[in-house]
Amino acid sequence: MSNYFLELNSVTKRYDQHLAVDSVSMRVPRGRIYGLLGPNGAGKTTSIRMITNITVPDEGQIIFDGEPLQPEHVNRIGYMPEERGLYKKMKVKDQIEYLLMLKGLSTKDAKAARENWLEKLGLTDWTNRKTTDLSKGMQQKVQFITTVAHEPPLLILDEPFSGLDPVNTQVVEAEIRRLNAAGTTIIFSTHRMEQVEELCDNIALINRGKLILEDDITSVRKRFQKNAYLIEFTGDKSEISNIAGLEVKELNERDAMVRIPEGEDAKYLMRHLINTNLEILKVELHLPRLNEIFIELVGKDAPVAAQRDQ
Amino acid sequence: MNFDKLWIIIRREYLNIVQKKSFLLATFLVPLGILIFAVIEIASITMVEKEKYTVLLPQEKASIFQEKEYELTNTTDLTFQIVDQPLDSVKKRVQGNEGELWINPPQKNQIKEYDEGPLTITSTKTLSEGVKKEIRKQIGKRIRAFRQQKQGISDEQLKKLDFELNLTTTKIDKKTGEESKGFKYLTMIIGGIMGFAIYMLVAIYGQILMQSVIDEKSNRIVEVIVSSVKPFQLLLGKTVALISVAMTQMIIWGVLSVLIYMGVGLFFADQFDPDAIANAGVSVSEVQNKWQEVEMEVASFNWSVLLLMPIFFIGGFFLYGSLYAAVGSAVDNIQDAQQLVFPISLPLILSIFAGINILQNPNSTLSVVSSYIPFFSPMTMPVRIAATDVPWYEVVLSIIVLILGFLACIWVAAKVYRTGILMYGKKPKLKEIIKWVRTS
Repeated sequence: MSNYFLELNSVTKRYDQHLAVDSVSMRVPRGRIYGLLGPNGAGKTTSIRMITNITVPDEGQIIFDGEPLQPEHVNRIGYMPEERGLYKKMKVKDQIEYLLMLKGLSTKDAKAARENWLEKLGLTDWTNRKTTDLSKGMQQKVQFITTVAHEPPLLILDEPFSGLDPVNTQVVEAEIRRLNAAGTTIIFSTHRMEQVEELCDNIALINRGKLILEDDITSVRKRFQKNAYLIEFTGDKSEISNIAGLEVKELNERDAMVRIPEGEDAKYLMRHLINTNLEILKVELHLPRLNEIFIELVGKDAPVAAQRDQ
Repeated sequence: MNFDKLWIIIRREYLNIVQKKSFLLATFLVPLGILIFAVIEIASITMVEKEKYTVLLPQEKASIFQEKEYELTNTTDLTFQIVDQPLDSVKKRVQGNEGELWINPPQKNQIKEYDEGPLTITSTKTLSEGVKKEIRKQIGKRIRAFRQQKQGISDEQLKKLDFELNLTTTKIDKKTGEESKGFKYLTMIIGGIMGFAIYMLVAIYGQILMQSVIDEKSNRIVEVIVSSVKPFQLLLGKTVALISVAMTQMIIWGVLSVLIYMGVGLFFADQFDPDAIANAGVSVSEVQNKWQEVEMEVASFNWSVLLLMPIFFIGGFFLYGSLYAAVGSAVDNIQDAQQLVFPISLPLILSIFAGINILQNPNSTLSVVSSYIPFFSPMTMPVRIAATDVPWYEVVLSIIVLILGFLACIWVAAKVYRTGILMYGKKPKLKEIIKWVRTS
């Protein structure tokens, strides 16, 4: 059994003259949460649509659980697209049952899974209501049920928390973690970097159709750390600025963010700090936030995308 | 193709429409409306105008009608009475009484001298046609009997004079010299109704399909669905479901029409006597002749034509329905669809004009040619079959061409559909849609 649940090998997709996905290779480790990031129009949705068999790559190959991807595999994928919705006038229970049966569940299994999940997410009282009668948050939870209730080994969630209040975000997040703990591989796409940091084990960054980064999240943050340190102190802050060779990124009354020269490490900073009159409370290697890395890598068009609030 | 999933889609789409109030209303209220209309129509002929009158015949004007032999007979509504009063007082009496009227029939000398005579009826109220007819009929019958007797003609002799002309027209084929019955009213009516019904069903259900595709797209559910099934399966499932809905509706309407026909027949059986028809102002023999004609046509009508209707409807709906769905997939809302739908609606509407023309000239070039063009044949071929004799192989050929036609349309539509359902934003131009077909 491969360590990777899903592999994309040099996958390319063209629309007209436009290269939507340009020779992308990704490896999604089995049983992990894999963050798929990128600004709008980068090729995330196109990649996901190829994984979910909605479209076919022009070139390259997709390996699903060790086999070349086939139409039958759709039953083993749960996909919550960013552009999603439900039949407005259909009852909640019929809706869930229908979508689960389209994933290959028998009527009986679909009903059982439905009841189980409606209870889990506290929607039992709403089963006979039409979708339009539900609040946006409840609709979102129903959508989540239709995505996961057939218990697929691969879940693809595109902005799964949009439209949810903090309480329901927590409920859904807990379910995602639980499914992951039970062995489900999850591809998670969002613009909310703090959610990525919180949930993901690995990330991939796509920009202009190309994969520009793929690694586990700690390695990525280490790789982009750039010798920056956070210092907490009491005393005259001007002493910090006087240390030779130190690049001061940020200087406040009680703390400072500094960069030390290339090739040096924490000892270099300590040596200099000992020679000051400052009382040092803390020295810490600063790992960059994902947001900063994202902006650094994708450039000017990124901040808008990164801050787009759902 | 995963047929389990196709079946699940068909079932949902079918139930979704069949359980809608609008479907139930259309399916049951339309025939009910027709029933009510028919009942009112028949009732207005047979049941209304039940006012009763006393018909006064002044002694001095009584003419032959005071003789026992030529006495006027009372009916349920009319009581005839010869009154021994001067004319002036009879006039006064009628003036003061709504239920009475007086008549002035032809006098004896007028009956002898002329072959026409005056009859005046005087009343305060406007009389119904039924009352006037009845009085006229009774007087006429007596005068005829009187004149027959005067001429010394026996009933037997009179019967020998009667002659009924039954008109039929026969059509001879230009090429084969084969003769067939000429004007087939019933077949023409059935052919016209069939062609028009197919047109209506294709147009209405095509629009429903288009709306349903637009709804799925604007609800954003479509991407969820196509991550489970192929877009083509969804398209096919929806199309087959709508065909099933239309067939359900046709079957219900068919059954209801037969029930209504029988029910109306039973209900009015006793009302449908010659008197009632005569009261309506139509001569009895005229009605009987027409009825016989209809009965003969019913007997000679090739009812298997009706079996072709579902075939041509299904073919036509696959063809037009898939194109309507393609348009629906390309747009985000119904307003944007109007412009794109025009090239589809145009041949559909033209087929109706062609159909009307074919009813009048069933053997014209237009008739023959249009019954082989898949965009027209679902509507025009049934009309042509009903209006004239079409060899079976021509029907088969027309159906084969139709099948090829709708397969081509589905092929094109599926390409547009699978690209269109995932495209949001600006309304695409026809040129772009053609590009989707070429590149996908």
